[in-house]
Amino acid sequence: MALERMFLNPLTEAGEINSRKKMFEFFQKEEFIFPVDKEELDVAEQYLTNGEARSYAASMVNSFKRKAMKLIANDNELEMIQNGMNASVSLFVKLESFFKKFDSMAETCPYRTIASKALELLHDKGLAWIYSGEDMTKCSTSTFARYDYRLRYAYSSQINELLGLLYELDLYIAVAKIGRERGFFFAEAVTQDETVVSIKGLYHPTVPNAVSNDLLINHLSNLVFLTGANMAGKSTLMKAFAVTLYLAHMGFPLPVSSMHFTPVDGMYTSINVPDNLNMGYSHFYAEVKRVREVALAVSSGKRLLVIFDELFKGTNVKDAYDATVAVTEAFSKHRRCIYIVSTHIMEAGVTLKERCDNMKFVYLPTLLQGSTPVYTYRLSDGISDDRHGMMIINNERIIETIRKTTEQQRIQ
Amino acid sequence: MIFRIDKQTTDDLGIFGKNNDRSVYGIFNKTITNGGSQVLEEMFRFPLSDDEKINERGQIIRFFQEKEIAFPFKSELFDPAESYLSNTDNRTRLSAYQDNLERKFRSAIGSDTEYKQIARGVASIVEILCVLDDFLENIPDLGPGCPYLTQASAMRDIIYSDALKSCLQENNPTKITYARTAGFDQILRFNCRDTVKQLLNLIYQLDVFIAVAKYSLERNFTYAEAMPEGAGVFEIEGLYHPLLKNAVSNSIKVDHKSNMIFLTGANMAGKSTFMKSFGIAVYLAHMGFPVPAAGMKFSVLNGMYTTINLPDNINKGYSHFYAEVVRVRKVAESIGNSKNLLVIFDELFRGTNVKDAYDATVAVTEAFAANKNCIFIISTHIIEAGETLKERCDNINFINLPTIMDGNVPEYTYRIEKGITSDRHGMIIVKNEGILDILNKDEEISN
Repeated sequence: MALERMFLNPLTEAGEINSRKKMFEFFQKEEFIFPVDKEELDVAEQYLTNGEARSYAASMVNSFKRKAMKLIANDNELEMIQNGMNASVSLFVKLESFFKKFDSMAETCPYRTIASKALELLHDKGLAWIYSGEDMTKCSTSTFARYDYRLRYAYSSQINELLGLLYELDLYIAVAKIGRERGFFFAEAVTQDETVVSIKGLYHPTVPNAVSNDLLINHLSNLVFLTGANMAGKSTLMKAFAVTLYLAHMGFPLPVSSMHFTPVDGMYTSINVPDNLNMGYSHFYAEVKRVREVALAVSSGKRLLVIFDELFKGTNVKDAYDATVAVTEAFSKHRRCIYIVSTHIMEAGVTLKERCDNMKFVYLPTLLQGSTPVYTYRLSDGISDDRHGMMIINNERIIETIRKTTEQQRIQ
Repeated sequence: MIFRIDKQTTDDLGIFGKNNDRSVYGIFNKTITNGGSQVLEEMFRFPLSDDEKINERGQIIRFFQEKEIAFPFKSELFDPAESYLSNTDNRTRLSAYQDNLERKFRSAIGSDTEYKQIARGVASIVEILCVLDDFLENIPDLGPGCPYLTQASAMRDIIYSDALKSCLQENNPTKITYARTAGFDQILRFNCRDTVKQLLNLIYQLDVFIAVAKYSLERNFTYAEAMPEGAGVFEIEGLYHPLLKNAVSNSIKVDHKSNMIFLTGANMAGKSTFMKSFGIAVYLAHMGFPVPAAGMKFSVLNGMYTTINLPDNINKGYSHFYAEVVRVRKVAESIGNSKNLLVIFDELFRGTNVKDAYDATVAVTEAFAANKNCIFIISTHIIEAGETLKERCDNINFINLPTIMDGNVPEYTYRIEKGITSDRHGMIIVKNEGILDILNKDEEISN
């Protein structure tokens, strides 16, 4: 839940991002283990959040009723409540000793304030009995009812707050563990007028043995023009970039070796624009609609990341060329926004290179091993000039085969 | 000689499919008997490449369509007949000597299931023979010159043969005595088994002819006229896709001077549909079946190879482009083995950059165009390749499927026009949507 909330609400303010980042960084370094086990937490959680005791008197009456029920019939409700209370007591004891550790830590420890807040909640006078070591199964019915009332009603808001801190702790430890295991690093969010995203050693987190690349986009060259063959890894690189920038806005550990960036107000990616056949739109028209939507967002003055993969592939070459050049050039004038545009129309890149000075031209190369294309997935500067298509056709002797068989027919 | 096809082709054209209504086989598969359905599948698996055989089958189906003759048999007769005939175990043979008290008693208490099965099989075949006799008597104009006469005579020869004619005297096939059943069993299952099987096969063929004729009448299909191989005739009028509702029809003519068709048009303009329609009509025509067109005349081909939806073969490490190259080579090699082929390539070399796609399309199309025997249809959205080919080859028929703008929304006529498409609606749409205005206006303000 807490994780989902973070994913749905990436941060846009550098200070917030950096303090969240510091937290993850701290946990990634310290290698804490989550202090309670899941089963116990489940039992305690269910008990604590199921507050039926509206008043102390009612709690008393219910306790007696349950005790009586237990005598005449084998009622397990009492047992469940007892289990819940025991689990809660054990949980609190463990939490208390866990959070205490932070007292002795340096002032700079980012989690210290949260830990002392948690301790404050745990050390409330009304909960002191928890740490007395009293056996809950042996206490009198009235004492039991009093404790039950406190945990589930009188202190419910404090306890909910405490649980909230606990869930957050769980998230910090879990994310930090992934970051540690995968060797992720953190990005530094910077506040400045000129947009910048600088990444070193970027790779796609879910692609096995992913190759890493460096990418710098700033106000001087705010558009990356990416070319390369179909399987060369254009989409993967763009996805890796977008995913990383997204995670960076959450302060998360990232699949990079270093990174700094100015937070953006949002991102628009068009990597798989679906055909909308039902509405009678062609692929091209669907793309145009999407580009228009992005144009409106860009012209509103926000700072955005925009990614277009294989723009205008749904139309004839001439139009795709014209449209790519016109649209790319118009977008790039909005220097607050940063763009990655990929295409297989290299000619559009050549034209743009002459007309614009704020674009960075990179490509993913294809090498040939015999007639099998091999991809390096390593960014190179410039526009792809791979012409392996005709080379493969020549290597496979396609034209000769056609000519030869046609000749055979003539002789027959 | 067989008509060459491969799985890529039948997949592209949707000949067979899981969903009956979505495959060409499926729409014709309206036979009454299971045997008929099998014969139909066999016909689909092996199209003919002999003009006489094609015309002969076409004329038979047309004959049934014109006379509107219905299939006379009930479908439930054939399953018992088939399972009865497939039981060739001598020990199950009925013997007249077993007609004793024990059998009558077992029959009375209903425990004699084996006999019942055999009796049911015998009764079914006897009824089939009687119905067939009656049916053949009543076929109108079954005289000399009737296309079905050969098959009808073959059937008559079988049912009037000395061995089988006794069956025809049975008035009520449901009540045959034990002794007579035993007699028929000997004849049908042992003495004349192969002849009976042959007769059933002729009936299944009849089932197919009548089912196809009925469907053709409903859909108003037409019968193609097959000409000898190499006569250089290929004309289809009013061609449409049989699986589409409200399909638009087109006419096309191919001869030695225009055996390469170069088709351009926007992505949704109907290029693939046109090529599939063409392929399906050629396929059906080579089976002697009615075709979804207003008229068709063709010189018999030796086979066809289509490449409309080529699957990527990632497992083999092929890129889409390489898969296309491999396919082109396979087709080129097939041309060396048989003379008159139909070759279809949809959006050739779409899996590569534009420059290469252009070069490759021009090179491959030009090389194929040197072959004047085969029929080629090549589609592309690289219009520029068409312009170059126009200068280099003289046997290319350039056609296109146009796009018309209705405001901002592109609309398609699905009607073939001459020449290379000149549609440049892409930029019009971009401009109409005001994208550049949105972006540039803001820039003026900020400046």
